[in-house]
Amino acid sequence: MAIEDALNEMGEPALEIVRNKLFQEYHCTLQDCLDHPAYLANALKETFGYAQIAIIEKIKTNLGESKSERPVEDFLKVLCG
Amino acid sequence: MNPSIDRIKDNRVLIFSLLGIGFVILISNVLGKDIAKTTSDFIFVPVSGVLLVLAVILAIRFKGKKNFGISYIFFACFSAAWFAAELIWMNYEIFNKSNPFPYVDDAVYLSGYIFLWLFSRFYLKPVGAAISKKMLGYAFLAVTVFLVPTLYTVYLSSPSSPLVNILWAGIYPIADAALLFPTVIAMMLFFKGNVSFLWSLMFFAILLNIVADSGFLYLDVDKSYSSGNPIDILYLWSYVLFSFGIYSQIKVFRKQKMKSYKNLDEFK
Repeated sequence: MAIEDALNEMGEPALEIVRNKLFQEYHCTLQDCLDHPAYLANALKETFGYAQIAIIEKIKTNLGESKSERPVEDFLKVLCG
Repeated sequence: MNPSIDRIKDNRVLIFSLLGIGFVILISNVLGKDIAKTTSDFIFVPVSGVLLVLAVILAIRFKGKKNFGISYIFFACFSAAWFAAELIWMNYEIFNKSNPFPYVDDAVYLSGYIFLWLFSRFYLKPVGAAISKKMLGYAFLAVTVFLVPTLYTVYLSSPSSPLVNILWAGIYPIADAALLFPTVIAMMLFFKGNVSFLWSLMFFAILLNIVADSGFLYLDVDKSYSSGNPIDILYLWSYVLFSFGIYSQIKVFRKQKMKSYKNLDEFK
């Protein structure tokens, strides 16, 4: 939800291309990205270049308090590189 | 199709379009001033029309929703404004009507700049957090580099011309230079991303407009400009670059084959 909301802020097609990239290149969905944050990081970078930083920041904000939970914390660590 | 092959093919069409337009305008100049004038008038309408069609396609794709959707609506408004201005200009030229001051086509052209600035504003809004001070510095530098010579050009323009004419012609290069600010930021921000091609082409399109508008300023203040002048090539090229930039966005954001998601379980 946090990832979807961050990408949806741009527009639905922006969310669609990231979803599609994840599927085409890594055969995974947005939900699977909690276990494979590197896939999401690559998909965001390939699509939006350095602007991915802003999207990752938005994901962090959307995660709210749950970002301090262990799996989410690990997810963010990899996502932020 | 392989994306890199696709990109090479698109780039070939882009280069061919630029060369083709340049060739047609130059040949028409060799054939005579009247032929050059008519050729130029008739090329501007379809070239700006193609940009409008592509911009509308993209705006429909995003349905005007969220930041990108709003930004593409503004881009479509910009394209519509410049297309309308080209039609008005052609109407004056073909039917030899007098173009009363303040010029209607100029007002429509200038409104296009506002829409283009709003397009950049909304496109950058969701990724604003990634804009660094360094990027702002480079963008400011780019604007200064192009604005200073432009203002100098305005200052050096024929002193015998009425001040209002010089200022009117000087608005364009100044508006172009102001547009460079968000464009340079976006170019750096989306660097290496799939969406970056639009901003790179937009950057060059604006540079072409700055050079063309500065040249037009020189030619217009002493009334030596007429349609078909080789300087028109730069304006036409900027339309082509804008069009290919928008086309690249259509390809990036084209409807994805969602049926493929149904097969996800088979992959796992």
